[in-house]
Amino acid sequence: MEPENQNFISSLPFEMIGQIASFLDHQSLLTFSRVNSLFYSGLSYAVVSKSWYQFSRNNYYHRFLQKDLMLHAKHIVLSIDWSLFEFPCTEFIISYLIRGQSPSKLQSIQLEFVKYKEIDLKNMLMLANQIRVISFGYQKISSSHLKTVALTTSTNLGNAANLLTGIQKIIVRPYGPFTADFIETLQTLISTNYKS
Amino acid sequence: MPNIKLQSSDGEIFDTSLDIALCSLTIKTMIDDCGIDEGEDTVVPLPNVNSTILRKVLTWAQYHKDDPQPTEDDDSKEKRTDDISSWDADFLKVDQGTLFELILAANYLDIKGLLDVTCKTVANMIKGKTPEEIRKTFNIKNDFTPAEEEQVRKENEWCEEK
Repeated sequence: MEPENQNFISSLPFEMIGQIASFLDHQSLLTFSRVNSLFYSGLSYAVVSKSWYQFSRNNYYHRFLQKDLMLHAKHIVLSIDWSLFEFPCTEFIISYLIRGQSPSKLQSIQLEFVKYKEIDLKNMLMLANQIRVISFGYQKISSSHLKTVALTTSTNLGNAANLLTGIQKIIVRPYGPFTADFIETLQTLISTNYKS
Repeated sequence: MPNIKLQSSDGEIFDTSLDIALCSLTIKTMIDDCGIDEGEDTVVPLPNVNSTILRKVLTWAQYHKDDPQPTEDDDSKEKRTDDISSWDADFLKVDQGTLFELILAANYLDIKGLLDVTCKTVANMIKGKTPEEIRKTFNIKNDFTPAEEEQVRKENEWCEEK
């Protein structure tokens, strides 16, 4: 394919860059990270996405995190596959991620939970809260960096409102299916807990 | 299987079989949750996909309509890029603008198979190249300062030595 005049790849959303990066072998990932800052952030997304299921069997991604490769990432999306969730492992990774961040560059951390069941919700939100606590603990980033918690499937939020305290914003992605009852419950929680 | 009409962003109507349209989880959700009927007169608006790209997407979906649905286990498998079928490879011999529009459309329409194969195709365009060659391939400007570039290079050093 011949080079073209327009820079199409940089117009892709951040997550799509990460999606492409997730198909690269480790050497290509490293090269990819050196192309420009957008790709560097794409690498961060891919590494985090991969690490959730490859952490335990692929020491490579662990080393990525230990070396603080994501020091200068502007956006971090923690895409947490709850069906593969292992609490000590996940907490460990998150503590590395947040401790290594440069406050001057980091613009957002987004948590994205997928494949969870209603029964998981309490633990999920506790994890979100735990991440906030970790970020305060290291005193390197302020709570304002923890922008969003994205809920990517429908669920009944039940009595979890108190666990949402301190989360600044909730993004509900239109992945559905969402019932009218679910949306109404969520809107109530957002209006109760959102702090502008 | 009944037909359904899909309307592209530029207003073109595509009358297509429902089983092909349902390759898109976005369309499936609209039908399931938003009360869109499956009758002949139903028009599903797709404001993020133009007619050129929608035509390509439907061609891909027609060819792959009998493929097994991706399972949750597929997500945890090692991601390969050397398993693109010859039909898909030929289908994706397109200019970069079309390729990236297909990625965006696959993401919007939530068609995992198409998203994977388009992203794999781009990944294959990156593999084996130097950063400068990648910039040239995609016409990307290097926005790192020399100091930042040096820092990224140093961060990678521990791994590149292997």
